[in-house]
Order: sequence, then structure tokens, then C-alpha cells
Amino acid sequence: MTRAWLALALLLAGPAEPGREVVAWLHGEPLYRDQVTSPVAFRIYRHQVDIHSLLVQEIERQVDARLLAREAERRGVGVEALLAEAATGAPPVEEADVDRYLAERPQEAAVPEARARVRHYLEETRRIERRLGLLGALRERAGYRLVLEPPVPPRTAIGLEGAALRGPADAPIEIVHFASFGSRASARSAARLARLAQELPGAFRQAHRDFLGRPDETALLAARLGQLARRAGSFWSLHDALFALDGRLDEAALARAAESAGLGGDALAQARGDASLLAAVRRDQDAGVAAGVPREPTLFVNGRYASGLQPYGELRALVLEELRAARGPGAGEGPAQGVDPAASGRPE
Amino acid sequence: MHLRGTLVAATAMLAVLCLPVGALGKDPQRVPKRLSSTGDSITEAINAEEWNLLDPIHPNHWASFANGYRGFWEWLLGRTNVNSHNQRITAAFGSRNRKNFMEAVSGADSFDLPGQAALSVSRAADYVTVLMGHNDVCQDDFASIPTDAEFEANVRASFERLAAGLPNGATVYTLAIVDVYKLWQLGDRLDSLGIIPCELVWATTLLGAFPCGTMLSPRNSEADRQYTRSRNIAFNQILEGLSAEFDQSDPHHYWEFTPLPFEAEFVPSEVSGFDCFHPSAAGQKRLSAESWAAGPFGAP
Repeated sequence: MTRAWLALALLLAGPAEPGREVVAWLHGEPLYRDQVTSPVAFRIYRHQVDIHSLLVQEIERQVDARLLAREAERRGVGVEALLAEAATGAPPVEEADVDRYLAERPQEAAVPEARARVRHYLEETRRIERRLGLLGALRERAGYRLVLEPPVPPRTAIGLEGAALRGPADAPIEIVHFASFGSRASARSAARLARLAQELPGAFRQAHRDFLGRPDETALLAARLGQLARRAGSFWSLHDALFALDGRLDEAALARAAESAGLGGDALAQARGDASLLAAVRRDQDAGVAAGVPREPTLFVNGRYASGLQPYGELRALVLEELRAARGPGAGEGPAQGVDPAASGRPE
Repeated sequence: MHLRGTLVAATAMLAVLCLPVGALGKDPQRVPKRLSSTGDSITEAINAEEWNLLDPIHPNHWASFANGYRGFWEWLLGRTNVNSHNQRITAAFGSRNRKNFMEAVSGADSFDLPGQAALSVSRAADYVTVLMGHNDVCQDDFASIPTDAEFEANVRASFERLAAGLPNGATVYTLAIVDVYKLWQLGDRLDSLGIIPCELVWATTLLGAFPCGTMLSPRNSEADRQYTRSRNIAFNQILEGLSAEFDQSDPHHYWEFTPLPFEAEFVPSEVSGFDCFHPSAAGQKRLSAESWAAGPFGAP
């Protein structure tokens, strides 16, 4: 009976778009794979990196096993015998070898039992080297080449509901900054974004999401203050004032920043007392975790992950690359479309 | 019939006389309530998910596979819930009379284990975890790697302290040293803070600024790395052998060993995104899950 209803529902449902994989149906409407994967693309990518790593490890293991099995068969012996045979014939370690080793590394001679340890090390490494030499020769003769490609970093769709935004809504680039007011690294990242905004006016819209890196009561209070300011429409004034502190926060500094942003004298008390502000901070943090943010500061430039710690030049290069892609071939570094070049001070 | 019954009884008596001490009936195994972990920076969960640029050895005790916990900050920051042995004990056996002690210290090696064992005894621990040996294998130079005899003597002395002092019915659970070679193998797939290739970070072993030169130094040949791995394997064999020996000979306590940490094929997301060396919180989570399941109190 359930199957019949399902079949009827599918019959009545709208057609799926060709070329897009449907992963679910809801009210007769398809939910596509790209809709579902886009918000978590970076997390998926990190798993793909893990999978790639496992595959490479397994490829290497199987390659060595096959090479040894084949060579052992060719010689008419077992693999263990082949490896043992390869290890024999290693030159014996003499006392002079130990003396030479310790003379070259006098700091190691002071360790108790140094001679016994060094002798063991030299004997074992000589045996290992012979076994490795065999494997190396077999690989070379077999023309082994790894062609498995690593996964390509994706674009992640970062939700901006409830996020503080500044910059033109139609800017070709969107940069989401996951950061903590209590972090010097985040402050530096914010400074790089400010510099970029000056250099490329109108090129991007910036979003801020709270993302604390560690338990920090003052940073948490600053984040709650930020949420309060966002509701009051004065977030970015507070944002700039807080990051100007370079991560060195205390309550007096928070109070001054709140005042400079036009928040009332009881802003700190309000920030502490309103549980909905804590919930808002948590939502930002969850958005970061869901997107796969590994640490603060982290940036997503049109969905492309970038560490907030990278040098200014690399961030700038990434943004310019996105600008060129957005504007099409032949586009230069000039101001974004719709932005008055005279107002930006940049020559046409 | 009478003769047959006599023969059966005689055989049973002979069997009992030949059984090792453990099988004759150890003291009843205690439900774990007082956990004490011994070990090094892995148990301290150094740099697992939080780090401090000004403090490169940053403990994340909440993320320890053994002692980890979850509270307000872990919830707020969306931290990985490692579901540690500590958390599993509470879930399985209740929160009454629970204690959670960490004797593990970053940088500790087998020479420090007897002292840590003494601390476990002082806690009257009924469940002791042992994950030690990484700093024996990982040294600045090869001459600093202890011999098998040294390593065994250190572990034996520690086990003797535990055997002599833990409450009857306590359990000692020893985990194998992680395969540090597998960490090296991930080298070209790891980065620190998203910007610095780990192989560059590891190169500072040349300056003594990063641990485990015996595996991670760029000067090492493959033979050097395999040698260090052979020590890793040898030390694990000693740990396993001593666990079995004490389980056989100690009528009052339970001794178990798992090779899983050595056998695990770990992946980039299970390595600290800061120091390219210690397990990440995801790695600690997996270590907890697998070692608990394989351990003395894992579900059958």
C-alpha cells in the first residue's frame, strides 16, 4: 500500500531537472544533491582528503606486496625468504663504526648505553637498507607511477541568515569571516580585510560570524556585545573598535568600544543578561562547525576556504582571481562594476 | 561407573592444580569508578582542537581519549565530543563516586612511568590506562632511544608498583604505542593552520625545535625511519608481553593490552591541524571508541 502511494506521489510530482541528481522528494518537489552538498562541501572535501590518503597508503602497500610476490616467485622462494636474503650480506658493524658515529655526534655519547644503542641502530639500518634497495629496484624495473589525483577544494555555500553584513549587496565577491574579537590572529585577519576593502572598493561584501577559538569569558562577552550591536544597527562600528584592540580585551576596553559604537552605558550588563545573545553566538559557532571551519580566523571567499592567517598577498591574489572569474576574460583589477571609479580614487 | 567417576574427579583435580593463578579465581573485577590515566602528551590531548600560538604545548584535557569530558565551553564552541573512557564509564556505571585523574604529562617517557604509577596507586584507582612510549621512540637522535632492556625494566617497575598498591579487583589497561611512521607517511597531505606544510614544520627537528627527529627529521633516510619503527614495534611487544605476564601471575588485578593504536590507519583529519604531530580531537575520539570497545569494559 505504501509503495502504491509512493508511486502515485512520484507520478504527480514535478519532473526533476535533467543532469541533476535527486536525493529526496518533499511535497512532490525534488531535493537535489548539489543543494544538499553545497553547505557542507568543505567538510565533505576534508573527508575526501582522508579517503585519498587511505587510498594512497593502500596503493603503496599493494604495490610492494605484488612486487615482492612476483620477485619471490621468479626466484623460486617465499616472500619472507626473499626479504631475509636481501638483508643478509649487510656489512658487519665494527667498533670503529660506532666510534666514528659518536665522534660525529658528541652530544649523543653522553647518553648512558650509547655504544650499545648505536651499534644496534647501525646493524639494523644496514639490514633495512638492503631490503629497501631491493624494493626500490623492483619499483624502478616495474615502471611504477601513481596517477590517483587528490580531491579538488570545493566552494561551500555559507548561510548568512543573522550574520552582520557590509559592502554592496551586488558585489561580485562574498567574504565570510569567522573570527573572535578576543583573538590577535582574528584582529590581524580583520585588518587585512580592511586593507583589501580600501584597495578594492566595492569588490566584495563582507559577513562576520562569531567563532571563538577557546574558552575565553571576555571574548564571549565581546561576541555577545557584537550581537547586541547588530540588533541596534551599529555592529560594524563596534567590530572595527574591538578589532583595533588587537585581541587585548578587558571589560574597560569593551565598555569604551560599546560607547564609541553608540550603545548605551549599560551595554555590558545587557550583553551579559540577555540569553538570546548567547544563543546568537552559538548559532554563529554552529554555522562555522557545520561549514567545516577548523579554527579562527577562517575566510570563505565566494565559498572557497582560506585560512585567515595567510599573508595579505595571498588573500589579495585569491580575491583578484575571483574578480576576474566574475567579470569574465580580459577584466582587470579595476573597481567592481557599478562602483564610481572617481569615488574610489582609482584611475579608470 | 564408580571407577569412571573417580577418574573424572582425579582429572579435574589435576587440571585445577595445573591452572595458572589467574584462572583459579582472581579477586572480583571492580566496576571502574576511579580512573587514573598514565602517559604522555597524547593522553593530555595536546593541541587536539584548541591551540595557542604563544604556547605550542597546549593541553586539551576535555579531548583526552581517557579523561575527556564535555561541559559548557565544549558545547558553546561546538567542540568534538570525544566520548572518552571517562564519559563512557559514567554512562555505563553511573556518576556516583566517580573520580577522573590524569597522571599523564606531556614529554613523559618510560623512565617517568614508575612515578606516574605511584600516583595512580595514591589515588586508589580501580581503572588505570597506560599509553606510554612515544617519547622513547621519538627522540632528537638515535642514541637516545632506550634499549629493549631499559624499556622493559621501566615498564616492569611500573607494573610492579601498580600490582603492589592498587585496590584488589582493579584493572590496568595498556594501549600500544601509536605507529609514528604512519604519521610521517601523511606528511605531504598535512598542513599547519591551513598555511604551512607540515613537512616544513617537521624540518625544525634539525634545530631541536620539534620533537621526534628520529622519525620526522628531513635528514633521515628511509632506513632510519624503519629503524625507529622497529623500536616502536619492539616496545609494543614488551608492553604486550608484560601485560600478559602480570595478568597470569597477579591474583588481585586484571591486566589487558590492545594493539589497536599501533594498527590504526589514521588519516589527515585525525592529526592536529596545528602541530602536525598529535592526534586531533577526531583522532582522540576514534582512539577512545576503538580502545574502549576492545578493552576490559567494552560491550561484548
